[in-house]
Amino acid sequence: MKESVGKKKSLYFFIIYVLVVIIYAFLLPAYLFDPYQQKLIFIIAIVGIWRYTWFVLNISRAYIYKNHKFKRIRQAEEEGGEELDPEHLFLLITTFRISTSVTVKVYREAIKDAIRSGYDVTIIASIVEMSEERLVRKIFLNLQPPENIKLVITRIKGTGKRDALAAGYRVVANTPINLARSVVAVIDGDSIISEGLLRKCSRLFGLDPELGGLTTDEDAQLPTKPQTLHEHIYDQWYKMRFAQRNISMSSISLSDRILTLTGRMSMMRANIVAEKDFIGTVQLDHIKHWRLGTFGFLTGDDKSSLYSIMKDGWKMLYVPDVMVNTVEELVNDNFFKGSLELMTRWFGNQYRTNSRQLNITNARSVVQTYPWYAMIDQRITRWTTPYGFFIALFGAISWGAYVFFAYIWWILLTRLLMIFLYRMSRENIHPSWPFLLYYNQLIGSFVKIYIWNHLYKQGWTRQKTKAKAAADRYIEWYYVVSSNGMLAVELLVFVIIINILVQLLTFNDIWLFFHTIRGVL
Amino acid sequence: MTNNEKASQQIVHEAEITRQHARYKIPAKIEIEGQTYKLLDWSLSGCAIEGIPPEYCDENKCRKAKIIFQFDDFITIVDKVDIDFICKQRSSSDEKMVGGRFHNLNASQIAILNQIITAYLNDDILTEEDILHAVSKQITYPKKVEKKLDKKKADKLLILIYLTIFLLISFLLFVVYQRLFVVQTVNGYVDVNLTTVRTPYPSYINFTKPLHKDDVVDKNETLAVAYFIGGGVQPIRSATNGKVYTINVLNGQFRNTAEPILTVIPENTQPYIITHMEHIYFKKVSVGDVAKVRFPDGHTIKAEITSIRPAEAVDVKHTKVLENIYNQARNYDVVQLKPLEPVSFDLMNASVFVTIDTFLQ
Repeated sequence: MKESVGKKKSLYFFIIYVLVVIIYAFLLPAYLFDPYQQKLIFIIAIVGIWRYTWFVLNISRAYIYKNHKFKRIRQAEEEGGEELDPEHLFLLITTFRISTSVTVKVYREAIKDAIRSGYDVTIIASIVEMSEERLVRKIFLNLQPPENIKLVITRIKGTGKRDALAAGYRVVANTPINLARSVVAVIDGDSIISEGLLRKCSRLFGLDPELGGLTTDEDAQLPTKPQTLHEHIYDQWYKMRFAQRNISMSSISLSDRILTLTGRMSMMRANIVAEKDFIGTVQLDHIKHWRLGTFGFLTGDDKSSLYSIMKDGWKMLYVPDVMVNTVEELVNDNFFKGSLELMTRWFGNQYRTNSRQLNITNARSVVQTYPWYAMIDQRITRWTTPYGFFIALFGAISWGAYVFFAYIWWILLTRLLMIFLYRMSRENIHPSWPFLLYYNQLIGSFVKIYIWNHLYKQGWTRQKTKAKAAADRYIEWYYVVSSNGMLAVELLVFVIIINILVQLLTFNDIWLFFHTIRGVL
Repeated sequence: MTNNEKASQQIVHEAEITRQHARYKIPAKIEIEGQTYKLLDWSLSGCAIEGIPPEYCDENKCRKAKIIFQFDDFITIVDKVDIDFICKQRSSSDEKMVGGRFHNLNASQIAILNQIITAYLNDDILTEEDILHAVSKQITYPKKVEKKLDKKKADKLLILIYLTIFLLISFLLFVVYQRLFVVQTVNGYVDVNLTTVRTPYPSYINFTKPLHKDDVVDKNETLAVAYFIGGGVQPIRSATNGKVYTINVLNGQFRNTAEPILTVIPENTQPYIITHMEHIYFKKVSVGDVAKVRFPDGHTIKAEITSIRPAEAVDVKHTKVLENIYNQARNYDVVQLKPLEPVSFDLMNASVFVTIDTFLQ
């Protein structure tokens, strides 16, 4: 009943939204757009066409993947017999300072599904606190699992998730079984797996011996029912992000690859994670950056796993018919601050790995063309939304405010259409999504631009594993100064290009400037 | 056995390298320089040794040791362990307790010690296979990657980055300054007051003497004679003292009424500059402002604005028939400038580029 009222409300809001867009279109003074501005609109349109084509391509690929390719995979799995079952299944759950109620849900569902699967299962609880150990023991004992379910507790120092994972992987490596026929599910301490997940996912490894890893669809829920405006925004923002994720993952997976082996829940072939190089990469990953030199990763363990699997040419798969629910604790009561913090972490992880993924020898053939381009696109996207926004902003200064109003109309229209297409991913689209989508794109781009130049900035939201002050103060100082400098260079060049396009600056100005410098020198 | 007890047996404890300071009383011995001692307890970072001479603590050096584990039917030795010693006074007695610190344990050594601890924690019976498995898996504990930076390269990069920033900001400031304060004029050239001697009536022109450029002429001097086509003669006189600038006719050539015969630069006349300025800049520029004038060869001089006037004089406009002068916008003003440095008459007609920096006036 409540749900149908909510749906009706959404429908009314969407109708109002559509009406506003139509009326807005008629209010725009089309006669004011002079020939140059029409040319400019053409320039913007070229960028727009490229971006929207990419969007539509992703949507189409996602549709084909979900409705054709994956359906065939699932059918083959369902028709397959016991030969597809893994010899052994490991569930590696990392828990650190997560609320008791969430931990109970996470372990209970994991253990229950392990029991349901009927496999030999080792649940590896990688934990830090004694209280967590007691809690996990209690949950395990309460569920009274059969003998084929074993619980291994590894207690580590609270030095970060990478150490926790490495400890778990060592347990896998130490287990004397056929690891090539075994599977490891890595589950975050706040991710609740759905019924039948372990069976549905692990059997896919039996289906394809080249499959190295997989991840599933996800949805988010807040720890408590949203009460405040900020909590409501968080709730819808997460829902929209996961709808986007579902589409992009499905699209990439059409090429037998994925670009994220999500830390919340992913599965990997056990012989891969037992390799010392893999464990070493996950525990102490590092990059060599042309400006920042060599520095280690704190966060982004999932990206390290992905890189290790990707570079060896393993296939990877997205499983859209299995859901993992994550309990997303609010990192900040204020949505704006919280979303900034989260985006900084996500995009930082993405960019820290992006360069070396592209540097894999024969990257295009190892990674496949479409995912390879998607990785290049990850770099470009940081400029595309700001490009439109600043063209409109400086265009308004150059020609008049109506340029900006036209831009707003365009955003309202396109984001609405995009959200309608998201219905392919999620049925419960919300009228706030067009705004949140644009927020994600614009503010996300600013965050991307910032973090691209500050790759050394890392920190967890729950684990305060900020980089310790380096012994060499010069390095810390250099990181800050050179990163801020590079950010300034990029922004200045960007602003100059935009201003040339809107004719606030001309090439004549550039000539005159250099001519003046020559005169001064 | 209850269900809980059964389930408890399915729970295993795994020792982890990162908790290396947890100490275990697992029976073991240590052999140092041929002498065997009993270990009171040990961890992955060190051990407490019974009966070892406290003098070891004073030497402050690493020694090689063997840690020996005696199991039911086999012995495991972790060999070549680098160890140094620390002594602590026991609070209850005068006796000193000697502890050993392990240094640079390799992957195999860690794997064996870890396996023994794990088995101990879980009450497992340790077999030779377990030890071999632990070693053969070659589980490594990678060392933390230290931040590395080539300082020389970093310094160079910093200089490059901040030079670029300086250049880009300078460019933007330059453009802002140009837009706010600098007026760029168009269509500038060097001009001089010229007196033109013209044909009074359709006639043939005969010079009284050969004339050349820069020849000095006096006022009322007869320069030529005009032979009218209908008969009759009229002397053509110079209207001013000055120098000949151009001769527009050859001796004996025909010229129609008012066609120029020659031009004279009057005495005491200096070249000046005429340029055109968009009327919107009128508010920024005043008579007396100093402008920069750039000549075709690139050299620049300063010049002072002496007048700003409409492109077409109002009185001239009024004289036009059926002209509604009030509908006509003045897009450009004519700006006249007096050079503050001497300008050669040779530059007469030369194109110039005039900019007026209104901030520095």
